[in-house]
Amino acid sequence: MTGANGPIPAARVDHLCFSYSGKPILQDLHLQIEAGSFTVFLGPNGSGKTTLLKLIAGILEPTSGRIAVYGEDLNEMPLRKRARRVGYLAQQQQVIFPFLTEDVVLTGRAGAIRFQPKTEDIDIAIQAMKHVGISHLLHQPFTELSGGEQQLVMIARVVAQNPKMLLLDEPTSHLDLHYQARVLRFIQEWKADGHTIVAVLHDPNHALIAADRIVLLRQGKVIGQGEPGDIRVEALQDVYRTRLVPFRFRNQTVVFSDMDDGFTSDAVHPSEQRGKT
Amino acid sequence: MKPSSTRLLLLYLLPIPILFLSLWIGPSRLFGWGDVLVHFWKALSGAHYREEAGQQMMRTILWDIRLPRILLGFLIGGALSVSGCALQAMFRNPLVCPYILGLSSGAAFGAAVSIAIGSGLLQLFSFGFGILAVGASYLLARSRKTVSIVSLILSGVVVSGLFTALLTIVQYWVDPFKLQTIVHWTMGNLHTAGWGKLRSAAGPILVGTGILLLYRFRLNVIALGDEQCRSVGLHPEVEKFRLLVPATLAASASVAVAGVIGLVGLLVPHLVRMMIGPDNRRLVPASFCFGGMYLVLVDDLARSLASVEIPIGVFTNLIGGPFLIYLLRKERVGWQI
Repeated sequence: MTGANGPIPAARVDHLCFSYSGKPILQDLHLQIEAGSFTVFLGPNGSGKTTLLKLIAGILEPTSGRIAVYGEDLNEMPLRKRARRVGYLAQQQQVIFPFLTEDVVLTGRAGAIRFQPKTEDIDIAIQAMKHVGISHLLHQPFTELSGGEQQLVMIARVVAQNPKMLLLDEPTSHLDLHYQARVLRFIQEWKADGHTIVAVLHDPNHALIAADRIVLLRQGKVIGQGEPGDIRVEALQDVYRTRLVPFRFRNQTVVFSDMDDGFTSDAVHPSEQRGKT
Repeated sequence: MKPSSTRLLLLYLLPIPILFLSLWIGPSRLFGWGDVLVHFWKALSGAHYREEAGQQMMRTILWDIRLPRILLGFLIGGALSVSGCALQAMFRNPLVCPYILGLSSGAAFGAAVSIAIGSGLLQLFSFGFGILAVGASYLLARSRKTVSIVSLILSGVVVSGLFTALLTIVQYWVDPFKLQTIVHWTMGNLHTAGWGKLRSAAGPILVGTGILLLYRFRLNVIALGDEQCRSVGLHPEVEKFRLLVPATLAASASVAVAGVIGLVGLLVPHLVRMMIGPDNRRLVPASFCFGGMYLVLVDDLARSLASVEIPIGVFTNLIGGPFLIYLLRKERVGWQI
């Protein structure tokens, strides 16, 4: 898709502010997410990454500012159309009733279903579960699954929804290494299929290895962004307020936190020392 | 596991023999099994037969007393159960019943006012006030275009309390004969059932349950929470409203004709969920059939156990309460709340 000024971005965020009960969470944020890319939001707890993701997903409404998805204003888009453009994987799942996993995945098709799901919708749901590798959980109650299995079921739900852009809030949390790698591989596959993926990740190394673009957030502001190769270790140290040791892996710098420093509760980060003097 | 189709078929078909058997049950012992069968066979085949005095009475008892009562009981049981299903999904809470938003207190107050002033519009008053109470709870809970579940439950408690207090005032003022009628009404009963009541209740009940049946898949979506609902393209507030209106319509119409029949809307969805799982695509229609059958069975007990009829609302609570506790303990349903 191209517009007058080059390709239309998957998402464009302008002057975005969001406050919750009067407390500002995001302040005057600008961002552009290229279509067909894998973008990762990195930042410490409370930096506003999940809020930003929810705003782009349309789960929350901005206090002020504008979000456009594939060139159209998000908040003026009908919800069903929005569901075809944007899918959202929540960080925590709270399912009360012991629905079978198949039923949970099928709800991903809700935007396309008027009254009752058709055979086609059920087939899509089953295919999505196969794709994620959880066909064996088809007739299991969701509430009896482990946290990681529940996460995979919810990923299958977004896959069944099949939106152009997938917004994933910590898709690898609760997962063991096998499934973490699997989810990162899925992301590459979806990208190859033309989907845009935006994720909040806790592990900066997943972002450094797999992402096309990294956005660093702190206290509701974007404090840096670029391709993984452009992200300096100092910038990451600044974001996470902990000392990081760089390593080279597949021509890419990855980082480990320096345990000695990281675990000292009264350690003062160099940036704070600078601030005090 | 997925429920077997035999089990589902049984749930859908079992009401037919139960309804028929119920025709035979009642305080009148004038006729037996064979008489009922012969009577219906003749009536259905259109054969003309000589009506003797005894047969005329049988005709009256079967067609004008028992049949409308059984049908009304079935509809009310089904309506309360389906309404319970919808509200449990909407509130994401298996402890919710159709009366959670003050419907029963509002309806009871409406009925009491009607009896006190002798308006003769008891059904209309209780129906109207039931809906008014739910509407008030909904509007009180609404803030900034959203209705949170917690504030909805809280406003339901407040509105319930308010109408209960108003009911008490009416009961305090009214003369003892009218007080007796009010108290009888609040117990919930089917002994005044007739074709007239069936006709007035059937419309709203069938419309309400019909809409819920149509939108039953959305109950699965809304039961996953607001965020999950919105992210797949359904507006949670619109869906809640869309489900609350028919659920209230059906339950209100039921209460208006039969008084407050407790625990059906809570117990039946639980029972059916234990049998066939929580998927509302199956749960809603199965709850209608099972709930209808359940209430007809309880009514059979109510009108045959003692020589004097016991109000059905008393029975549903007496049987339903301990039965629910027993099932919850036996099945160890580990609700994670």
